[in-house]
Amino acid sequence: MNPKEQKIDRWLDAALKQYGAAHPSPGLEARVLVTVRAEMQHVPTRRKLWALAVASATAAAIIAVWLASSTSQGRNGQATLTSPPVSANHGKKPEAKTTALAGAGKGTVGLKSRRRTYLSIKHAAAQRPKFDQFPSPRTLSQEDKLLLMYVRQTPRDELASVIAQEKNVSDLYINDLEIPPLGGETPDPEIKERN
Amino acid sequence: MAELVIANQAVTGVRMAEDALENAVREHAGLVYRIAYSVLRDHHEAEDATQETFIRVLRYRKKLDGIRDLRSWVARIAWRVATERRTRRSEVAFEASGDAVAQLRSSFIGAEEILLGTEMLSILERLIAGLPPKLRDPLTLSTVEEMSPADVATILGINEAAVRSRLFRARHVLKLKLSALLEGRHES
Repeated sequence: MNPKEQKIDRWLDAALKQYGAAHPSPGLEARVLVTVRAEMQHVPTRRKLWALAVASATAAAIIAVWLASSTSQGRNGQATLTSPPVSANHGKKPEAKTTALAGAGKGTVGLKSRRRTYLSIKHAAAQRPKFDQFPSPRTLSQEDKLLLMYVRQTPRDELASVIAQEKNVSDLYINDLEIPPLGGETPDPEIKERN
Repeated sequence: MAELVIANQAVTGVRMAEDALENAVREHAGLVYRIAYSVLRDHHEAEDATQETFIRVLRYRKKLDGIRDLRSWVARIAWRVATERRTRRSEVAFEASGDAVAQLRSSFIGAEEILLGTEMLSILERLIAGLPPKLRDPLTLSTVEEMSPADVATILGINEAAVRSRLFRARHVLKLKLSALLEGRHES
């Protein structure tokens, strides 16, 4: 190693030593501690804010779901009530059907929604037309109409004879059948004894 | 009753973690600062990096008790914070001023004692900045007073032999660059 290289080597050693010698300004620890303590106080506050945000979001979601379910429940009740009034409900009580429907969602729907459903049913029932005759007259079927036409077109005498024939048919009496033994054989004496 | 005991334990645990963190600040703030300064070469930035380092430590304060070598762990965080900050900053190209080079030459001509002015130190900073990261990182860390090659190896995640080898190569490259500067072969 020549003197120049040695000198460069020494210069580099000294320069690198100086390069790494850094002294923080006084009070660095105190400043860092202040920052750290401030951050420590911020952390719980942030957590609280997060918890509050999560709780409010959950509450909003629950309310939205509850509102949606109660609205659909109301619509279902309305749909049942607006179905054909006379023919479809013949022989059945419409209230029973709708209350059964309302009762199906008892577990999920709250007291308020049930009360609302009940009121809507009551309102719909009040609007329904009222009839003097009970049970309310129903429309004739195709068979009924044909029979009515036949009765109108057929003379009375003929009708009377048809009715009489029907009566005769019902009065028919069939005697007990006697079946003789096959091939004209005499019955077995043992069977005779039993009889 | 059990809830009270759990709550007390939690409070005690938090306090212990806070105490451990404050102790870590008192013991290692200087080291963290020097590591940050060796990378960033700016006092204000080094202090900001020091604060950021301890805020990161704060996030893991519950794990502080389980850390075997707290000094190395904090040093590694400091190194990461500082290098992240350095990458955010634009790298300075090597441009030695004419005065600095003249001063450098004069300090070598017939002088027994080597004089290191601010200008000359800035030349070294730029020479180091021009090194490839593989050589620059071990050299930068090794200039920090308290850092042994083993510590440097722990922080960089390489073995000690590799650290020594890279330090040797880094010094060799620096010497070549200095020679070139003294002989006027550099481009200013």
